Amino acid sequence: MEWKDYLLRRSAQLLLTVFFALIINFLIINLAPGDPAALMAGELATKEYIEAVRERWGLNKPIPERLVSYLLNVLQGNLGYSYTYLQSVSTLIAERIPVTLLLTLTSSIIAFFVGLLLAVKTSQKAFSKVDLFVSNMMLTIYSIPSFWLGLMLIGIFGVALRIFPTSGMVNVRSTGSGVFLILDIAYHSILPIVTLATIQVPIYYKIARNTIVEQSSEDYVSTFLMAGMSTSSIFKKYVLRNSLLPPVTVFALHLGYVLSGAALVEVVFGWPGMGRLLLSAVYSRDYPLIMGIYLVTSITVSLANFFVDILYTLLDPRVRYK
Amino acid sequence: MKSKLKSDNNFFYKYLLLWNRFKNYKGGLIGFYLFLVVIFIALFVPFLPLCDPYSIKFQSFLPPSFSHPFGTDEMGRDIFSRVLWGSRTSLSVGFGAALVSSIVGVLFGSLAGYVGGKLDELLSRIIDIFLMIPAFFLILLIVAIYGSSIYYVMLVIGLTTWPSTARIVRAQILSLKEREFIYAQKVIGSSTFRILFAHLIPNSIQPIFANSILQVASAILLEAGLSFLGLGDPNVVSWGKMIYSGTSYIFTSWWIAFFPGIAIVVTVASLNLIGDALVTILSPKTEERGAYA
Amino acid sequence: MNLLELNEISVEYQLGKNNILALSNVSFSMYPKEILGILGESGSGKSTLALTIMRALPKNARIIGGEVIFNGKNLLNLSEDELNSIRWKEISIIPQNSMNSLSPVHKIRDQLRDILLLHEPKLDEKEVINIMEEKLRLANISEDVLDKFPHQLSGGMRQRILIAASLLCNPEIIIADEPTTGLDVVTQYQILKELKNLQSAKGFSMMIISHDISVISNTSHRTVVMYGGKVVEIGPSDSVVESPLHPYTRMLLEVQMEISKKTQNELHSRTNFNKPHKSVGVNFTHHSGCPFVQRCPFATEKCKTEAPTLLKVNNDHYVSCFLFNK
Ligand SMILES: Nc1ncnc2c1ncn2[C@@H]1O[C@H](COP(=O)(O)OP(=O)(O)O)[C@@H](O)[C@H]1O
Ligand code: SF4
Ligand SMILES: [Mg+2]
Repeated sequence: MEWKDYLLRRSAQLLLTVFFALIINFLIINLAPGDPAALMAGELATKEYIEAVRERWGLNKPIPERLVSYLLNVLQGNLGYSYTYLQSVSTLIAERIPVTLLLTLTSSIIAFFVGLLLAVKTSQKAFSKVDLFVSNMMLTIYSIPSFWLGLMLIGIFGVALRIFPTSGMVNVRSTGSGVFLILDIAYHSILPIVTLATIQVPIYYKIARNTIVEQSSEDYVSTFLMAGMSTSSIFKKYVLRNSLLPPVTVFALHLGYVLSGAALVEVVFGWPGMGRLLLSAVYSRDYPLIMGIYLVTSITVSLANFFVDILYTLLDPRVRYK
Repeated sequence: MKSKLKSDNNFFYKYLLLWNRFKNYKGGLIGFYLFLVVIFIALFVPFLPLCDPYSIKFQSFLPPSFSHPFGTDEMGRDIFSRVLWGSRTSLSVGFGAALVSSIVGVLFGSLAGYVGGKLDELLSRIIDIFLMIPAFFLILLIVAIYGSSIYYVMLVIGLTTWPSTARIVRAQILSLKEREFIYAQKVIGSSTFRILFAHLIPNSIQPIFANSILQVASAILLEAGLSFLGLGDPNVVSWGKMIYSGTSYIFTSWWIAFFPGIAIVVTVASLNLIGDALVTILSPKTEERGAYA
Repeated sequence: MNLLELNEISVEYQLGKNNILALSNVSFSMYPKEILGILGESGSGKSTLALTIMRALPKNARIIGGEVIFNGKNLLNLSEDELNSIRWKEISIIPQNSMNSLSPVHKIRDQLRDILLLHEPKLDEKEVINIMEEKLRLANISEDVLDKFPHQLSGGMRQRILIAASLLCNPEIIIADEPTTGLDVVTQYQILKELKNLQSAKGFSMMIISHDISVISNTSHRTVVMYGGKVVEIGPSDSVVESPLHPYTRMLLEVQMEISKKTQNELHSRTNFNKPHKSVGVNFTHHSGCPFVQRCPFATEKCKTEAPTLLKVNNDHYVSCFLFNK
């Protein structure tokens, strides 16, 4: 009962967020200097094409009607037409989402475990020299621009040591298929994934460490200690389990950050995902494409937050549906 | 009575206390000294005996050497000089954006916290929603359409990152407004405006300060990312842009991308180290822990 | 024979640059099959005492000296393994603040089972469940709670679960730290009655810690009165309540008398007892002299500089005050 209410309210919030992102997008088009239709049609568009775009998006109508027509278009999955790729924006993005998610999700999972492991190690000696040193190291890593890190890894492992490919998702000269194709992709994805995982480790580390330190002085720890349980068992059975949830939410909260990192890293590695698409859109001022990418990432992040919140209520019995 | 009302406002004393505690955080202190160096460079770079960062009179792709410590780039410009000049761009964008973000955040946050009720609910909702929208892509979209002068970049970064400040301010005001000295102000009939701006906001300035420093850091990273994608101000020297041009020459001339990146890491890390130490000091839990810090 | 013997225990906490002396030369004994009450206002060191016996003090605490003798062994010298075989099996505790004394994300069943299996690893699942259910029944709570999480239960239920938990391994000593604080009047009364019945039925020794003199006087056979980290009076509960010796104990009784007079007809009279009456903050930096000197109406110059020691006044009744130490 209660849970259904929560689900409903949380869904409403999700819709509101998506709606908000759409409104921002709409405002950006309509407040832009010059003719919004020309903006969406592209620099090289013919007069007829501009007029067609104007018609399609209701840009010849007053603002409220424009908004309705804009929302209707988006609702039907029409995010506009890319005049550089000569393809609909939704198709373009849909093709690249899996490629980008491969990087993002794999690197997040790796970062989660690395961060947690480090946190487990250092939180045992909280506030010791080692702990402070690792914390400061993490802050420093958090300050590295993803694209630069990627570039340096290319320089070291691709150029100087020649152990990893420097660009792309597959070897263009090989015509492998099946297992070989998968292996080839995995091989090509190692450096970009390492790059993206590295910039995320500090995020997971910090939350995991702080949660573990906090949980270690909770009253239940002392109860089990007095019951004769060894410190290490208490840690494994109770403290760790109590410390897992905050890092999980961090995944959703920082997804926007990670996606932007992924976009930049893709550019460096020539990884054919949304980031590359974004770069070429920026270069050719392909506005519908840029807007589409902005919208899709907003929706992805909202959805991720939605699912993690719901997951949280299932994993943490304490959650009060607020 | 009067002195009691004022005692919470002794800025100088408060900051002295803050500094005394800050000194114990080695990471924060290192960050602070690094940052002093960066600021010094940014302020005095025109007076330093450097080559003109735009001059293309040198040979291209010279590796680091005594006369060009960081080498030269593809157009024969001195990278050392360009890296030092780039600090100005990064720091202006960083501070400009953090300033805008703080002003907007403080305004919305304090309104939400102080007025409360329906307005608070509305503003909090907006803050929550805003926090969920990936700032980088929004900034990128706006800058792509509206132009990428350095002032625009500042403004846009500031206007998209204020919600985190607003959230902190709101929480701060909520806890402060129940305190005695604010109550006393109400009793003696001070106006809402006065209570807000003369008492509540100044008293929540320290946590905002810590957060703003972290925001300077993230704004610098955002600007670097934008410039890397070619959306930076074309008229200034920017580290992100330098790294981008180094991308094509990573096979032969690593130094073109290497040094500007180091500059970003040093600058951003110094700010993050300071900010993190401040956040730790100002969190109520640290006070409980006392000697352990 | 003494079951448990505390000798000259001193414990301090480090807080920032200050050291707080929370226990100062505390000595007393516990007899078999008795209920021993520890009475003292909030901050007097009662919980510190309990945690010292369990050797579960927070990290910033330091045992400066003393010994805890149980079965001829000094618990403070045992290795962690030796200690873990005594914890819960011989001495268990119902911790203060039952609100967070259990893990919030584990079911009661898992937590009780873990504790039981620590000490009885050979039990099979069926026996484990039987024992858990039996103990829950003893604590007067239904077995349904096994599949609940702590936050789904009321304060009284949680307290009963902790009572059941403390009984799991049939220990010889159970320490109950403020077992009724924060509960409503009816539940308080019931829980105290149940604890008393359990003790007389099972024959273990129990240490009941409370700031509320009525809790202590209604349950315990003997009472230890603490003030400022020191034991100020020990005696059979009847004599302590009827003829209190130490000025602090007298004050406590007077306060209680006043409250019960004032609220005789009020339904919620008991709630007043729950609040620790105005704690005057003990001056811990002032180590010399009697700890009570600042509030004592009989204080003399001597009390400021010299510390009184615990002296026998009559059969089994001890007090630490110069009024009785001519
Ligand atoms: N973890 C701690 N750190 C510092 N001081 C503490 C800590 N726990 C208790 N104290 C101090 O020790 C004294 C005794 O506390 P406690 O044993 O909890 O008293 P009681 O249980 O009688 O209320 C108090 O002055 C208290 O402030
Ligand atoms: S020793 Fe002195 S101060 Fe202490 S209780 Fe007795 S009379 Fe009072
Ligand atoms: Mg206590």
